[in-house]
Amino acid sequence: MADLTTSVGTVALRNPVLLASGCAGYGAELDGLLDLSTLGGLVTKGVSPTPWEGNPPPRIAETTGGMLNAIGLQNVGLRGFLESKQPYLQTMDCAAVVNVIGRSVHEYVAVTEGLRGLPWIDALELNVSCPNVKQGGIQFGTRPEAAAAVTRAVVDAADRPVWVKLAPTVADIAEMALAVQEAGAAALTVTNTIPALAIDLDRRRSLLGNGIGGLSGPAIKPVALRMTWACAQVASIPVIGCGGIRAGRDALEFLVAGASAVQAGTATLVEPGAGARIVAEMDAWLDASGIGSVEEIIGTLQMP
Amino acid sequence: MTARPTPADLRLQVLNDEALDARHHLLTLAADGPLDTFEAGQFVMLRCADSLTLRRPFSIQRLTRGGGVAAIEILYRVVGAGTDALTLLQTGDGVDCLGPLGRPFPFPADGEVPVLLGGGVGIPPMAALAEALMLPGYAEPLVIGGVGGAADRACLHGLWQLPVAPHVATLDGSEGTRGHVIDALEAVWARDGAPMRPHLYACGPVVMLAAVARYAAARDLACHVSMEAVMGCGFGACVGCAVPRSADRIADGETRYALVCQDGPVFDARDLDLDLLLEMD
Repeated sequence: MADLTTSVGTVALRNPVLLASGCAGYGAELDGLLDLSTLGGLVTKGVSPTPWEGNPPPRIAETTGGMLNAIGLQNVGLRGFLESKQPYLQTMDCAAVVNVIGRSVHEYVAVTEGLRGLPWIDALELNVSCPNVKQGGIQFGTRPEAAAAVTRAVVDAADRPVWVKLAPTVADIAEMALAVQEAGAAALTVTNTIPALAIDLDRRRSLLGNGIGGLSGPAIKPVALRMTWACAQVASIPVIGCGGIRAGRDALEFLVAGASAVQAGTATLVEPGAGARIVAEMDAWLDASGIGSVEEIIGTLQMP
Repeated sequence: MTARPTPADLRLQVLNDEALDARHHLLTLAADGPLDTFEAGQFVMLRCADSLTLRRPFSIQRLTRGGGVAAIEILYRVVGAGTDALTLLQTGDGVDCLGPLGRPFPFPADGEVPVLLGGGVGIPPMAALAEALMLPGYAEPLVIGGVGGAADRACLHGLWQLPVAPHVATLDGSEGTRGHVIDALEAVWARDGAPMRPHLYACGPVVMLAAVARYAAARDLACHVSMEAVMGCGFGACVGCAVPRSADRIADGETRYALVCQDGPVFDARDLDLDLLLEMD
């Protein structure tokens, strides 16, 4: 049994596996299907100041090696979150990270202020990268100065570490990483879904009610790995790898590329117990490789 | 009302996969874990093939206990990559099955006569409900299955196993009443007389459910519909299987869209805006 404990900045983790935002609800959805105490942590679905209704259906389409979603960040809003989602989350036996969304800097700050003083929250994750809502963060996530501005405002308002989930659709991910690091981010989550289109040929229309969606799943793993590596090369804050992780080996590859922890997203939708299995597979690989601690492999990639 | 069992993610043994015709199969799986306590209207998520990203949702047609072995029957139409893959399953294979999921059909209130309307691959869960309603103290259900014609007659499979004789509607008039399920319902009521308090239960294409909902609303009849949707997970995590609520039925703190997997698949028809859903297609 290898030592799987790790940390993302000041947040200590039982192991490096977290469930990604939007794929694990608010924890309660997995009750009875996954023992959350086997995980490093869970990132909630995004919380906005007021309820968001989301996009018209269909919201999901399968593609080769992945899936498209265009949920549109449907959520119950801050008050509903505190009233109906908090009770389960605060009993959860793993790190709790709350994903924050907004249409303006003011809205991000409003949610952040509403989450102050809650002892069960370990970190906030700033979503500046949802591709499915015109005013849902991506307007901040593609320009370094805009991302830095919202990060700085949230960091100032928060009493917890602020992780920033970066969009893959930027010219230079390293520049973005440095911009939000400079603005006070405690960690970077790399990356979100990739804007994509799936077509019903016979009807000559999109398979999604929103038209475009975000691609996730194994198809994006190589893209996310490259971005994780690129961020880890330049950033002094921890990087959390995210994109297509569905097995222990996938998670370990992200760590080798420089991630301090990982998030599994789509895998949980297909297999609710995937997070626990990924942890067990990491442990088995480390044991078989004679490696005593998972932290030993972080950033050990040899690039030509 | 006892609490519903927690769903489980189990690898189930395939007992049989039988081609009923060119496009319809009957899959029989060993009903391990909580599946033998499924309630009519609940569904399962099947991993049809490892090469596919997502599981697919399927309704349960019935539970059998032949030879002391509990089994669930799933009637499916071959429509795409997932159901294509299911046809390759052999007896003895394993298939990952998450369930039972979702809210089942509520039983009729005292004095109500259940009227079950199934259309196409929406017929199987109505067979499950009919079987569940065959209890002392409940009025015998009126069961109507609607299909296009011979090409999807296999969808009626579950209804032929029932102790009550089902009525059939076909769009091409090849069997039973020519027309939709409501045409068959009106024909039966015209002949036998309508009950004082019918309670409509329906599952089928959205266009059929919208028509049934309008019919019920115009006559102030109780009506529950079971919805189908493209799903990501089946247990409320991805928020993918959205259906619009009726604008005047959105409770305080609720969002515009309900989730088929978590809030349904069975809904009080008045709670949904099925005409809006039709426009969205």
